[in-house]
Amino acid sequence: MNDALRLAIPSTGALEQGAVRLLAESDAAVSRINSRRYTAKVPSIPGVEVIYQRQSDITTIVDSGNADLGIVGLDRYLEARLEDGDTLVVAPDLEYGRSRLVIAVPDSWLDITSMYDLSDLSLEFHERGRDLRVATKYPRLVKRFLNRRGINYFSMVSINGALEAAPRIGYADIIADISDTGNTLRENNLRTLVDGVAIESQAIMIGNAKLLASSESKLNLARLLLERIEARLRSRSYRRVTANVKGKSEGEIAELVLASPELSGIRGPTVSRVFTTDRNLWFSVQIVTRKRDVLRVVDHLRSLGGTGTAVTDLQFLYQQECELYSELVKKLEQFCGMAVEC
Amino acid sequence: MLGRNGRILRAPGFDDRSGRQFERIDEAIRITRDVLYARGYQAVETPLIEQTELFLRRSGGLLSSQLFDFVAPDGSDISLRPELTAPVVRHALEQQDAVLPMRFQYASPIFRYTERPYDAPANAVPNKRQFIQIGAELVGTSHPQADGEIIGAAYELARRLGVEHVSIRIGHVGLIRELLGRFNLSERARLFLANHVSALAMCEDEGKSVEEEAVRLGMMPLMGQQRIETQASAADLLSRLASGSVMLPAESELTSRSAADIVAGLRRKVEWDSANEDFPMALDLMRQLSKVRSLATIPENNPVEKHDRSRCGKSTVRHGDTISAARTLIGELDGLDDLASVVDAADSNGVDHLDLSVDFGFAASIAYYSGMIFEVNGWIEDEQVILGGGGRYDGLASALGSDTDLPALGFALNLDTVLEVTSDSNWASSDRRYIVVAPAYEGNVDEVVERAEALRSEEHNVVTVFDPGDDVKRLAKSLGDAEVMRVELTDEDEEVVE
Repeated sequence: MNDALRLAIPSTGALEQGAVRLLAESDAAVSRINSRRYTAKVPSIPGVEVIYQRQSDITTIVDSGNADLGIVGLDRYLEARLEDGDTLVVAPDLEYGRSRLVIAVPDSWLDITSMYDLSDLSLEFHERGRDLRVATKYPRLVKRFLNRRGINYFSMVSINGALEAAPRIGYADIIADISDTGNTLRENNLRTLVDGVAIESQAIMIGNAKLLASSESKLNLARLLLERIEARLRSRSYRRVTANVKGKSEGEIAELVLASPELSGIRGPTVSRVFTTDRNLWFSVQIVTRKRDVLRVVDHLRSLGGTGTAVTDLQFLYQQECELYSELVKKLEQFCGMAVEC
Repeated sequence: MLGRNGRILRAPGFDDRSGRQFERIDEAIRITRDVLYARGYQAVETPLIEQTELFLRRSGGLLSSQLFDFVAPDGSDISLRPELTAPVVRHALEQQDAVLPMRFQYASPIFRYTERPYDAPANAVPNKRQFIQIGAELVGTSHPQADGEIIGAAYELARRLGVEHVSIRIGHVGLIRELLGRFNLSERARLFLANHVSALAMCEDEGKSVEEEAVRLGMMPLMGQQRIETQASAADLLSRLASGSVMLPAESELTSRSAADIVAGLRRKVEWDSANEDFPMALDLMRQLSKVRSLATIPENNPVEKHDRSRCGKSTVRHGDTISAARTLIGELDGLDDLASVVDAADSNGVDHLDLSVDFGFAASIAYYSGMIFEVNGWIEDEQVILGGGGRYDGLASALGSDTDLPALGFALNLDTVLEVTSDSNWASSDRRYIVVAPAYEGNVDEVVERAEALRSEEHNVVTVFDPGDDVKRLAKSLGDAEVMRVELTDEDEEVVE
């Protein structure tokens, strides 16, 4: 058995760029000999192989066991997944690739602003002997969304190129497509309905439960990767605040800082002596705090006479355990406890 | 889906039924037949597959999103049936010279797709996607006693199947529609309010989320600044089109709809916008009405509060008081009189009034219901469980293409749920006795077979064993301690019985 961990990532587009950037930031940079080559290595974690694949194929590739892990948009995963297959979600939010699958109608349809309007229109079309034609690359998700909104009379138009042109060229009446800013839709004279968001999506990591559960080596490689990604993602929400404070001792400074526990960092401040040329006793105070609390922490340190306050980004922030990995192990135990043998 | 060594597994959500479970189902279907034949309901079996259109006409969004629909090899759109009412009504409409009312009963599998959430635990049991529905349809009568007959039959059937503490919750979709007809509302706003009755009845946010949804969809008229900040209304757009400050693109750019279509659509919305001036008043009344209800008797040790805590307001004990309370709130309505008649009819059809509740905050999940609706409940330990339900669906026959209006109603219970709430001891074990006939040694299988045939001709149930080395004792045990007979060829026609 090949014990390398095969990680499938999208071969093009924003999802690919985001994946490569996230891996690089997580100290797991992908080394690809050239852009025509569809496999690559992660030199910092020997044993991890990267496979570049079309995003729409990644779910199937992981589910069929041709890759152990995959990075994919939640929308693509939900469209292609086998509900009771071997794939499970390993990381539910990689904090990039945010988008929405939306229902958009021609801007000139001034009377159609909500799904209720669209429902009426589909009935009107049906009475005239035709279906509302929906162009989409997500037939499964869109069908379910339309049905739930009481729209039953429609037909799906499959299209490979740019969906936005379909209504203009008469190939479809409306479209259902991914939109992050809505700019492309607007530029093509299309408009999203007020309640027309089918799903909100982001990049996720999926894994093949059978493969991961049956190889200690793969699972260990997955842990190494998840540790770094999680520590990187967590670090984005935190900042390190460092200030110099005058006082009598480390204990006294620590006590003053801890008087406001919510502004004293994750576990508390690090206080250490600063050796200066003047006769005063100076101490360096370091606090790792949530990004949103930075200014409050700075003010707190100022109130203690803090000066020369520096705020720096963190590269990684590891906690006692890797939550993504613990969660994965739990899911694998659940998976292997089922009738489906691992 | 494959298991170890490529073994093919069951499709998720679909169960095999065998052994004791199969016997219980068999027995339950026999009871169903008896209860419903006794009331004149004739058995009908419709195809597993119907044209998808049959289920789209009136079933509503929930059911259509649960369809197993596909394109047949002949190119037609077909579906596994998700329920039996529409197929049975279709069948009824095909009967020439039928004597009305027609009574049908069924006990058949149905198929409904429910999504497994992607973040569900890996060991979560897949949602069931195949169920056996048992039920009845009464086609061609609008008499309130017919409502009582159907409710009574559902109640009696659940009890005969061994469900303890059966209770019936009654609501009335027709009454809600009639009430909303008093207000100046668009058809869409009426539909919206009727569909949100259950949400308004919940204590959680006092119906605020319903109000917010109504605002978002433009049904709730806005005042002052709020109005200015929202998108232009249909009336604004029409006047801007008239003044030329907004232009529709040239005809060729209008995709599949013409300028006339769009202007007609805007005019219709203007009418609705002005019609919806009554929306806040209607919403407020619906909010109050949805809290009016009486309660059925709760089994011992199951405090009422626990089961009723998600609902606002206080429930009454007597159904008459409930209907009076509603009358005080909303005045005289034909639907209220009908509901009172249905409650009386249920009583005269054997439903204990203590097992009945009247609930004005009860809405149907299937869109074709037009009048009285009801739910049949049982209990698993201290949790109330919905076993099924039914109601009147007077418009369905017309929606399915009938030239004449054919009032109808019916009910269905989910047999799988019924079996879950009834303990195994309620069901008689099979009294089928077996004799196991086995060879004493290699080479006398022919004698074994002959002996078995002879026993069968004497109306015994016989299982033959072909190999003398087989574990006959275990086989006999699995057949409910069957008698074992070893056949030995010592001399012609001679045998030894163990």
